[in-house]
Amino acid sequence: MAAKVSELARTYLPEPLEDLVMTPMITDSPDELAQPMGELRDWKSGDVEPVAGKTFPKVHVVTRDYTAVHDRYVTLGPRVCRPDGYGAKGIMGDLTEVCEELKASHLVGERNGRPSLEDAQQVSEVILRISPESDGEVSHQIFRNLERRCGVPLAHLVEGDREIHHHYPDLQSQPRRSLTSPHWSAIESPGRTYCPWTLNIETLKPFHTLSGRQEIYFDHRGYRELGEALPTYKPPVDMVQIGDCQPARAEAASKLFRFVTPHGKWQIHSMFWDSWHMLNMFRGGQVVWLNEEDAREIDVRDNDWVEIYNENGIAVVRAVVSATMPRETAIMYHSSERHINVPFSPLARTRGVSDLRGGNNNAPTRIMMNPATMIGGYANWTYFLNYWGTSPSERDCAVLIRKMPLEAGAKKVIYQERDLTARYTLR
Amino acid sequence: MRVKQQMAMVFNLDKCLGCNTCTLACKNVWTNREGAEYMFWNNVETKPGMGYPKRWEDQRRYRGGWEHRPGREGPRLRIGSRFWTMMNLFYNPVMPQMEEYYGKGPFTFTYEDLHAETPTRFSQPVARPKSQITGEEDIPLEYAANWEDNGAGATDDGLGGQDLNLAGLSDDERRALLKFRDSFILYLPRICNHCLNPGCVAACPSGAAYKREEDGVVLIDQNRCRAWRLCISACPYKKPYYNWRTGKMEKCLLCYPRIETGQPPACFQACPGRIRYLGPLLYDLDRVPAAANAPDDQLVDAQRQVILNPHDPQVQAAAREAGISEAWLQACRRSPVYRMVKEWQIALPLHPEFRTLPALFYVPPESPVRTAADEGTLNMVDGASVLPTLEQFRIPVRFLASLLAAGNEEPVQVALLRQLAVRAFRRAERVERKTDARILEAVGLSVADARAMHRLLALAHYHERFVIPTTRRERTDNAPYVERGFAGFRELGASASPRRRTVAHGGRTEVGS
Repeated sequence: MAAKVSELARTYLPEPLEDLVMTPMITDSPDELAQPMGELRDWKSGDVEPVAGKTFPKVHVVTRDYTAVHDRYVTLGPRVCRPDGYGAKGIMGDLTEVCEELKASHLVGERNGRPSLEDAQQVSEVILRISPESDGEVSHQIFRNLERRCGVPLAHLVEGDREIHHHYPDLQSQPRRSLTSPHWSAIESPGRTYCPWTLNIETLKPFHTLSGRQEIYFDHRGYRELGEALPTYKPPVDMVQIGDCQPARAEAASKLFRFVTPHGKWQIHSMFWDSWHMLNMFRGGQVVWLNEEDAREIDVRDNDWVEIYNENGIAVVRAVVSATMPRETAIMYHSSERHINVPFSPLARTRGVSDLRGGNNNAPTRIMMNPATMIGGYANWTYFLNYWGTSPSERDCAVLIRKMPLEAGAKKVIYQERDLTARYTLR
Repeated sequence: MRVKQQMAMVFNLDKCLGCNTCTLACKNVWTNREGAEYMFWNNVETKPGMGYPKRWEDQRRYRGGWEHRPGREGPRLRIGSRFWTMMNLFYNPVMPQMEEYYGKGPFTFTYEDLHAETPTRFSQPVARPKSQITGEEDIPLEYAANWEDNGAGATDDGLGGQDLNLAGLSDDERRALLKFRDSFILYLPRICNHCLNPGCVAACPSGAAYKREEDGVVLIDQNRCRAWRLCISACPYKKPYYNWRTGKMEKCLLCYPRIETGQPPACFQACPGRIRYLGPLLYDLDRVPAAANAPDDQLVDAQRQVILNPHDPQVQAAAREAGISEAWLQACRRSPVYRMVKEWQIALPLHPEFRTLPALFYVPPESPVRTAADEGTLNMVDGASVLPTLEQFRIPVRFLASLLAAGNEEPVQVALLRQLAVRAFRRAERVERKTDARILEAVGLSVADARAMHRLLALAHYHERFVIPTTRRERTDNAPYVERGFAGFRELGASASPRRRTVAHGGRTEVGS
């Protein structure tokens, strides 16, 4: 696709174009001090002038040469090949020498004067060569840079690893241990497993806070105003009070439960969950765990079909009844996909749900933003993708659960549209 | 003294995570075939629970294993006399049915619906449950190999009514045990026990089930099997399975192609918790009948007496006379199983009252302290009470005794107290820098024992956990080419009957068609 775009660009966009790009102020950079103490002043309301990189996102003009898209896609650089063009978390290295070696390497090779990324094996080899986790010399070099910044000895940690270079064919033949990396927080080699913060505790590499120490007091105006400057317990939001779950609209023989959706025993989200093996390792589909006394109150026995519902949606699953569950709590493993063993819900039509099938665990939950995670702009609370930014929580919810009524005489639930009866389709 | 070789196993329940990696390693290697869908040569059960198949421990119903015959030389098969067996050959009333394994049958899903050519009209398509045997669709799912994972369903009456090991407890005791804050579970991984006195071998009318001379692995000859299925009934652990496609019985083979080459079975290799130990034992075949016929309260000890001391020169001489190789004898002296079963007595056989003398032993698990136990007893300041007492454990000793010692609490107490003592001793060594052997003396261990136990239970590496002499197949048959083409299952190999020269039990020396 990149080759085609470049080819078309020679006709339609032959000249380089300039784009205005705005980037957020980013963690592990001087941007962390743009708004001291988290005193945020808003240029929109006229409190302050908009200054890029201080009270306003950073602004760059970027030149885009669409005829060169393919060339850039299949080569490394050019920027990371220059001194100080490469690094993460504010810890920089110099890849100029590595790039020369890559061009000479029979595993990578040269293209347009830069290391080639034409096929997947070359890309894999390049990643291993420029990563301190798999290349001892790169790790050592970046640790030396870090030593100069932090003023504590660090490079000795990987002195013995300097000759270790895990190449892609090495990893194809067998797994290799990763090396201690300046980008992570653990001392891993030799013979140690990953344990976070050992680098900071044992070699006194400063933590990425303003004080360089572990902090439990959050000296940021946003946290102070939320009352969370020190570790604080806050109870979950009352989902009945805010109307997500309305016991007044409950069907007969329903019971109110606290609804918790943790990771499953064997899957991260839906991964692997829908394979034959994993479905046969438990009950062949989604379930909800209930305490046996609660289940008795709503006439539910183990493996009965139940409907889990509130104002957000409906899930149709089977009950797992167990004395190992606390009272008035329902647990459903989260993010199983909705395509295995999901029957129709008799409640769907009466409650005005668009799809007559039951949903998964996400049907009765909804995402609520935690304002504490929107705080930023100062010290270690400055934004970075996957490190610091707004994250949702849908974990603490409330639901009503009832035994699912089945057609008279039939023990089966309905899976196929052609089997639907009036109970399911009439409003 | 007739010295025999046995590859034996220990599972340390104290470390089992219930992750079923073993189950799937086995499934992927051996039973991912048509006809084998419902087979789990290795499964992990959660106790309390019914298990797989349902209530397999209930021998009043299934009549597996052997019956005690006071005053006689050995026990008798519980299933019935030869006459009874013949009369019921075509309709065995004590055979577990598919219902006990998988409800309406092993299930898969109509995955093809997810990309059907005709789209659904107003709802998202789903894969519906479907029987892998009959092909019937939209079936209810009623049971499976790990249906009771983490106590699911097993306690939905609040009494754990389906688990026979709770049978000795009153309703009030059960309710107290299974109350949410005090409820307990433990994982019980199960494979074929490769018993010293296997019921399946004794019951097989075709002589197809046999116990291998060279390492005691119990196998079913796929060519001689006529699918009378009496091995299912006679095995109290319900570990032989009938393959409906080949019409033959199949069971765990202890991955003999792997152990013959010095590698542990797939389930042992895969175990992330490293709970599994494999090593050889020497035992005295002459003592087997009496040990299998000991009174219930002496069974655990009687089985230990059958196992011979590999350090004893007399035993070694007898073993050499029986043709056992030096490599085997050396491995027996390093066997982790010997240390745990015989020297330290911390590993116990599963349901010894079934009298098959299993070659698989379990280290009983410690468990969290009951909240009902007095608070404040775990006084971290007063060193004497840092660790809990057996009475405070959530898993009652009586329950473990029912599972691992024919109801006899004493061997379970010894096994648990020794684990606790080693923990206390090592804690004092590591935390307080004090070596205090008194706590060990109270449970009959030496300092060296305690350090070795700690090493083997907590830290042991691959070659400490698995001590596997290679089989020396070249010694078992003078004409190796005779067996060429006979390996594997019938569908994979030749159809003629293989040649077996010797078997440990049954006395046949020449077997052929």
